[in-house]
Amino acid sequence: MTALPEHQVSFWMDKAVKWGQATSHSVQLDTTRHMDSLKSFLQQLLRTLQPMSSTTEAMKSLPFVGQFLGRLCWNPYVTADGESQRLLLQCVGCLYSAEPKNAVERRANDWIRNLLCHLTSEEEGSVVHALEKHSGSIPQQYYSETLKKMVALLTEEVSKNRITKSSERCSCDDIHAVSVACVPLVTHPDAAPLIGALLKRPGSCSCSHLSEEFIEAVSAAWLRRKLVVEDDALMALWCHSLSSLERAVLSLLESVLSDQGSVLQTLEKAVTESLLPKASALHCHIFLIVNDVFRNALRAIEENLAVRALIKVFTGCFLKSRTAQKPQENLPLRAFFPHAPQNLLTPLLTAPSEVPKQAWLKHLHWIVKLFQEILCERNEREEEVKEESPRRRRAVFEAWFLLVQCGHWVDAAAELLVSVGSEESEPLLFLLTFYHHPTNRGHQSAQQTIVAREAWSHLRILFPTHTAPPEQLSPVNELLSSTLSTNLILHLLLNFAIFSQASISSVTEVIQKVLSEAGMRRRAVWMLSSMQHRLNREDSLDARVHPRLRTLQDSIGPAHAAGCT
Amino acid sequence: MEAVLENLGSTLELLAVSQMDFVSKWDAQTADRAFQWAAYCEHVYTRFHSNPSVRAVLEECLRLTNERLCEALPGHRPLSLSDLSQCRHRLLICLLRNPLTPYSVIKSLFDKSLLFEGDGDMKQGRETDMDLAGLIGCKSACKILGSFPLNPKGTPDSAAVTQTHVQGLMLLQRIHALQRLPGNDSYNKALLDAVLQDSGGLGHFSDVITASLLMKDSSSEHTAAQDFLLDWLQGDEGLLHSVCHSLSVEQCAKLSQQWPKFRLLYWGILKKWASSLEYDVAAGVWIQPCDSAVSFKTLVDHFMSLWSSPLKEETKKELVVLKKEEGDFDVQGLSVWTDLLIQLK
Repeated sequence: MTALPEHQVSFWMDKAVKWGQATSHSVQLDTTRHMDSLKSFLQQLLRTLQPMSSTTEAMKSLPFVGQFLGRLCWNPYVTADGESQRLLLQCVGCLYSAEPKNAVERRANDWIRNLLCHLTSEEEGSVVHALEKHSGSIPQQYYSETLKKMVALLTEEVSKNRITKSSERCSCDDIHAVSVACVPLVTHPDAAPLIGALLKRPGSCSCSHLSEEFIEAVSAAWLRRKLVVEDDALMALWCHSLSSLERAVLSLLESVLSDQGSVLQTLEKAVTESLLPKASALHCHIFLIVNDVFRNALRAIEENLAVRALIKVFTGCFLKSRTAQKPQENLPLRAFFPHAPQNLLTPLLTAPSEVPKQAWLKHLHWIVKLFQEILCERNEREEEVKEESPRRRRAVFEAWFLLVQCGHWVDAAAELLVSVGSEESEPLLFLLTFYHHPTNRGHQSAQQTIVAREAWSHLRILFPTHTAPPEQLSPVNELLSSTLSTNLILHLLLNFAIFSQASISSVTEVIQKVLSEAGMRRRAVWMLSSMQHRLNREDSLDARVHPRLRTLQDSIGPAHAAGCT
Repeated sequence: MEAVLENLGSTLELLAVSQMDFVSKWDAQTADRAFQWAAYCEHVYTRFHSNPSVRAVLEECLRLTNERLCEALPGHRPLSLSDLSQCRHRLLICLLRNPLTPYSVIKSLFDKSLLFEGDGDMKQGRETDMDLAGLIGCKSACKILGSFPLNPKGTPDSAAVTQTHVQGLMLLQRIHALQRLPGNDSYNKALLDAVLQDSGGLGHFSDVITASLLMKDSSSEHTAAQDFLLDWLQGDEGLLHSVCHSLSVEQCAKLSQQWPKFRLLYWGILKKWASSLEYDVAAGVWIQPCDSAVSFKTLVDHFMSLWSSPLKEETKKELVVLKKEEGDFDVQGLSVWTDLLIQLK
């Protein structure tokens, strides 16, 4: 058992005394400010109380506990919030003795009986009590109904204030007070309309009208999947709280980076449920901010397949949401991609499913040509000044970032590489190499292109065969283990595995032999799932592709998928 | 029906016992069964309370049980139909208030009804358990939201807070729910009497009544309930007097504007107050002969409020008529109406 630090005890005791029944605005504000830390303190207190053998022992080692808990029970801001109420009652429950052994324990029991009475009933001889008593329904229903009506009334007030003329008194103080009152209620389903109305209220004057604690509580509740407001209310929150938006994006990113096992199969679902694509389609600046977060993540962990898959799926969902909107509500796509080379937008933002398969090669050639022009400029400049200028570097990065966003075309190129001849493969290999190795660090571009071509040649030989002789596997193994181009080669390998004519049994065998190392398997799982996302979208699907993909996924198994690099 | 009544009677006995020292013999299982029976009573109430003929039978059963219990258990508080509707909660409170309730019973209440895991969802097979955590949460939430002023830009008015408004609304709904079915008028009136009695005096209840009557965007169902409420007020002159006395003059004026029926009643009260005043010639002031009357100043305030409302002309006309009836003097101290008119002008 860990003892509670003295300074914490006196801090919280002091707060409980000062707060009282939270009747003044300043106390209400202070209570909401300390809600989260109070919950952790109660949690700590509960952990201290639980192992104690008796109430006598608890009272002896924590003499403040009775007064502290008792006072909190009178503060509606504490008892309205589900979690703090539960912790509080659990603590109180620990002090109840089923078989009291002395006067102290009997007194504690009596005290708890009275406390429960206070918490569950109204004082007799009050209007509240009389109306509740004769309501004809059980108290829980009566209060729930009353709460709904109060919420409806205040919702109307809050929404009405929306049209307050600037000449009238600013109503921000009132709105601020309501938002403070709503902090303990954010996850209460009955309060949802009011929470929504507060969020949807545009900031009509310069003072910030919602309390920070309210924004924080809503934001945290959303991340814990406990919020029940309408989508547009949440989007309104993101529109006026940058930190809430950033946290939502980071939370999505974290869930993808940490919990791959489950997110992987449901990446698209997770992305859609984050509401970020929908919000992005409606509010251009949200899209820009989300992508700024992605950009930074990508810069930090350039080779991470999970992040790339997330960005690709996010962009796909965003485009889908955008298509679902009325065309007149749409801003031009240019506005959403202000930094990307404009001539790349049309070819890349067109989904592969919108282009007939016979025309893919031509479409990809067009894309590659545009990229080569951009890179050509880079290389020329490099020769001239020996070093890339930041502006140039930025332009190449943005072009590449767009390629990551529209990663389906890279997959399309990889798919085509399985069937094309040597000559046609050049531009496709170029695109694949650029996708995996955008920088020309140490002038490795040329070398990487050679590696890619070499791998491609090996795979072409490897896959039509029925049984793979070990000597043919070793070059692939070697290439894969070279740290230079692992992702690129894996990408090619998996496309060959799925799209080649080789039988699935031999393919599985090869894959299992080659991908013996766990880290490699994880990467493969991510790539397959990312490919699957595109294939699910396409209508004219080769009937054999899906079963093959699933067999492969099973053979390397999601069980091995945790912790991707 | 007989079986139902028998069960009802036994459950009410349980409820009575839970307040007595017999409860010390209970254990957690006894309490459990008692709660199940209490839930049964709630069900009976919901099913039959708005049906006048069945209700009469239930009330008779209550009366007989109460009689029996009063004889057997001195100090027994008679139970009403409303107690039936919240039987489990009554039982809970009885057990919590009774110092002799065994510790094990309270402990099991704690474990079963308060410490729900997660969000307090009802679990399968535990339907008769009360969701006390949910109740505490809702009750606290109402406390938090109840104190918001509804018209912050207008004049500060203690009665115009969320809680009072919603209480008014709930009252109207309750009246209306019974009104929808025929034969419930006297039950409805008795209900209002009971609310008044349990409110511990008129005090805040008159604000609730006012809120009910001033409820805007009234649908026809609200109007009918409001009308019923006015009739109830009219039925008891003492009550009406107290209502007008405890409301602010602005509230009285507002009610008079919205409800012609109230206006007439209010006028009647004002006239009565005015005619009870006596003129103290020595001091040159109007004085109230007894404590139940109002002062001349209060009376002026009431009229002033009507005077500054759209009812000004009507008020003036009425006062002039009253003044004429008392001799139409223009000198102060002879007729209270003359003096009131002088004050108002």
